[in-house]
Amino acid sequence: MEDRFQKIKESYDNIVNKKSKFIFFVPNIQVPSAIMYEIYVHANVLKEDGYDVQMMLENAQCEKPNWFESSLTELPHLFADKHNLTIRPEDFLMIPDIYTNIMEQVKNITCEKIILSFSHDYALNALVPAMYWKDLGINKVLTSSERLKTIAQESFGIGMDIQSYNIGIPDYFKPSAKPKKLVITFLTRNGNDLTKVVKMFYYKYPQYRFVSFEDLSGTPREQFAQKMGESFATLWIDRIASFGTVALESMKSGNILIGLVPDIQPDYLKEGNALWTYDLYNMPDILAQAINMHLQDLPAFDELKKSMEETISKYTVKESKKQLKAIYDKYIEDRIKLLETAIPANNTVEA
Amino acid sequence: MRKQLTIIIPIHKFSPEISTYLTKAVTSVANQRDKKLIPSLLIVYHSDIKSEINEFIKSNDFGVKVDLLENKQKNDYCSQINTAVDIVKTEYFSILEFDDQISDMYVKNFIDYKTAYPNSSVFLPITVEVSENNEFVRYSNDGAWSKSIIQIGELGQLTLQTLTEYTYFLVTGGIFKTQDFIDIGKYKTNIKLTFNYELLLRFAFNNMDIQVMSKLTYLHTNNRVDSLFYTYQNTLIQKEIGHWFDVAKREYYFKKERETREFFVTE
Repeated sequence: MEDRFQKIKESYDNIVNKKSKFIFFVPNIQVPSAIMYEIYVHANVLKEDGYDVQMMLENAQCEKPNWFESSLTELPHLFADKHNLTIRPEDFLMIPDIYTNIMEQVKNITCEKIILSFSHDYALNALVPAMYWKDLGINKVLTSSERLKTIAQESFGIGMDIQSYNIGIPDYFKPSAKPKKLVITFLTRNGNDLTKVVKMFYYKYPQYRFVSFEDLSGTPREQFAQKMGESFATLWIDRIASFGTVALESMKSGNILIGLVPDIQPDYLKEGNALWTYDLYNMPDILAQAINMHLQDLPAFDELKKSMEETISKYTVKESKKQLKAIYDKYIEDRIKLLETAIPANNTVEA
Repeated sequence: MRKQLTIIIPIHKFSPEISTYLTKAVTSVANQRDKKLIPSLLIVYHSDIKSEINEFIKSNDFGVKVDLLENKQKNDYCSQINTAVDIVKTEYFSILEFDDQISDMYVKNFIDYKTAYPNSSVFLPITVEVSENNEFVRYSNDGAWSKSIIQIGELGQLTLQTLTEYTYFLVTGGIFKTQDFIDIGKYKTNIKLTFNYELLLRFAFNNMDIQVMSKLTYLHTNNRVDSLFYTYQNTLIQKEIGHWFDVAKREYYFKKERETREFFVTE
């Protein structure tokens, strides 16, 4: 018993002295993904705060991502099939919502477990019906928008501590120093939707045949930002997006965004900050509207720009980090309080 | 801005119809959205219409100062422009046909492009061509943004290769670096029909950068009755058209105007 209390006391001291480990499980997503990027952002907030942060990849064949700033991936990377971890009560496991298998495996490990939930679809796919995260011993969830937080609360909410923060869009997303090119960058999940829209557009508006489209899928992040900054508009079609950072990236790049409203309506969506539509078959007309707005410098674009700037001002890296730090500080504080309650009242342990 | 850009309007005839067009052209210059960006305006006219032009200027207040230059010599379009450029004091000049108009963002967009491309010699606008009844005909210079046309260089940039394959680019509304225009020999007055095309080829051949701005800032009246190109369309036969394109492609190597034979029907 004393040994147990001794260990709790050690864990308590470790967590108070910032000796906790934060292990982030990294999904094996082969293509550039906002989810993976955000995981590394979280990891770096903690690293900057002086914590020991480690990234756990699925297996030795997985590589650390190389499509965004290498400064974010300068962290120890471990492989789940090769490395054995010693997890102590003062440690934290950060588990993406798709990994219910990992949640099962760590269910009986005494430490804090937090679910990173950036995609409601992934969460639903990973859970079997009537299975709750609470059943897996986890009651803390961190999401990337108020909307996702609300959905999580409504779906899994009973007894859960669900937090959200604003994603930060890096400053390398910006308008090009040179005048915008007559190119529309696009990112779509479904190639058929894109083909339909572009073909309909060119059939209906042959006079705009000189405007070209450029696919940003799979492009490394900084190059992605450069191309976006050079183009004058961005076309976004992704019905199942849970948040859609590309819309904010487009606004930060000074682009006219032509967006199909996703099933989960983003927090930042509002009339006037982009050319939004619920109807895919409307998009050719909206593309023509955007082109005209750019070609003729219509005053409507000035209004749109003001609204874009107002929207994007809430999604800075500085603010995002501040919010994340506050959330993680609270998690640590909660863990400290929990360990405190487990320490005997006289705070001593007999040898 | 008056010290950076001069807009030249060449005019060799006058009539009530031309007066209406000219009023719109001059007004469009004055109507820049940012009033600090109104450029210098120079109307070069032939001596034949001296009194009409003076009366026109005297009886109208366009909100912009209009300088006048009387051209006592040849009154063809190219000669008018060359004469005007000789007295231009600004770093850049552009050509506005009297039956055309510029947009209220013409100068602002030029400034953006000049800032981004300080070494470029020519900035062409995307032009909307309309009929005399103001009906849309087509866009011009848009080909510079087409991926199927621009195989070498950047989108928006006209290279010699592009120009030798694609001939339809409009020069009116284009903004030229004055000294570069002079250095490459100005307009060749002995070339009919393809004098603009030959000029662009000569710029490109001499490694002078030509940018097509991604903005619609010029409105061109296409084939107005009695206009120069309307006359060409109605008087030149197909072989003669081909002759002038051959001349353009032969002469752009030379800065100085060379003797060029007129086209004769041999059959």
